[in-house]
Amino acid sequence: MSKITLQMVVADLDRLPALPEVVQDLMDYLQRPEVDVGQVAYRLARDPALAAKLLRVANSSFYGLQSQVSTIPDALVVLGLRAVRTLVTGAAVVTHLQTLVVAGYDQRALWLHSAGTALCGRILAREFGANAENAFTAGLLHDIGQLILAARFAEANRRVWAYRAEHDCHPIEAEREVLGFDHGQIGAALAARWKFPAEIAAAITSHHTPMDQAAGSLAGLIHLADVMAHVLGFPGGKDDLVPRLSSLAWNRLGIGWGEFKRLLGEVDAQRDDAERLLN
Amino acid sequence: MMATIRKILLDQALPGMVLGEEVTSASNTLLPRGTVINTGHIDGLRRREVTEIVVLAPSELSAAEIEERREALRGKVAHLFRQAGTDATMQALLRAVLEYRLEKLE
Repeated sequence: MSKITLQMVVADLDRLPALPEVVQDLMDYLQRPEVDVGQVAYRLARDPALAAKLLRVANSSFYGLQSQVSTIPDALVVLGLRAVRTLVTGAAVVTHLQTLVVAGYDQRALWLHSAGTALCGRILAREFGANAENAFTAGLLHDIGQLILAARFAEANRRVWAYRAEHDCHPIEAEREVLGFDHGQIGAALAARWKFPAEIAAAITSHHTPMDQAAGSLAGLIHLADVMAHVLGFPGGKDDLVPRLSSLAWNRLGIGWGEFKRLLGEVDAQRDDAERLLN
Repeated sequence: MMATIRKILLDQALPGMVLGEEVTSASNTLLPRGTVINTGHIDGLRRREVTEIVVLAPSELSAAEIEERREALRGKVAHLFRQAGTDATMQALLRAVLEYRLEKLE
């Protein structure tokens, strides 16, 4: 039984397959202060699968379009470039990491939960006036550390799962007990490596401990989004366990339970978007 | 289970509904009674400018069936919250989730 450290896992991130060149190029281009829609469309067209996914997302109910958009330039106009940057990133990361195949690990459940949390994060951000695109991406990636652990450190991961099965506890408790670090820290390191905004990395690190971050931070939103996704059955199943909702994080948001139920309803109405994102 | 029939607008038709009366156009039968309609049928009827159809409406569930479903839902939510403990926020969350799920059931 070999001991692994957070440093070992972070160093190993370099060995994950790199983001495709088209995606990296597009993300770099979208960082510029002034971008040209024609250039973005041209770059996107080099990756037809990504372009198709972007169109699917643009046509999802969240954006409430009166009619369907069928071309990339139309989608860019409808979504706005900031949204496109996040969506491109999110779609690319999901497509990319879906290629990590892990024997005996239910990747589908992880992605369903991730997509559900992304939807919840987006709706909460809209409700609280935060950046919806960052909330979406943070929701999508908040548990990515679990996948990395399973894919790259299978033996250590098996020990974590054995502990979970024995104690019927939350993944994060098993990870801290068995490894001494957790999936939030791994995910944040990946987000930093891929040069995502700092608030996304912070939200991934602290999604189970939002009290470590200031009031109004993205971590608080993703913390609640994670809880919402679990209660809405993303992913569902007999092992699913609702995470502990922090009273401090809840009180900071200052909403009532009636409003919470309304938000659950809003997410439920967009359930199909989660499937669209994954397929 | 007893079923009654009701007339609905084609726009309200959903895949899986069962026709309670045949759909005709002039003197032709387009779809016979008892057809389980799918999206292809709905599109086809729309093209033929059918605006209303008659579908079977299942009768109300019995009180016992409703209680059974509610009980199953309570069990499911309780299982999801099995490690919630006595924390006041978690208990309030549990109540809100249960209310939401039960309201949705109705």
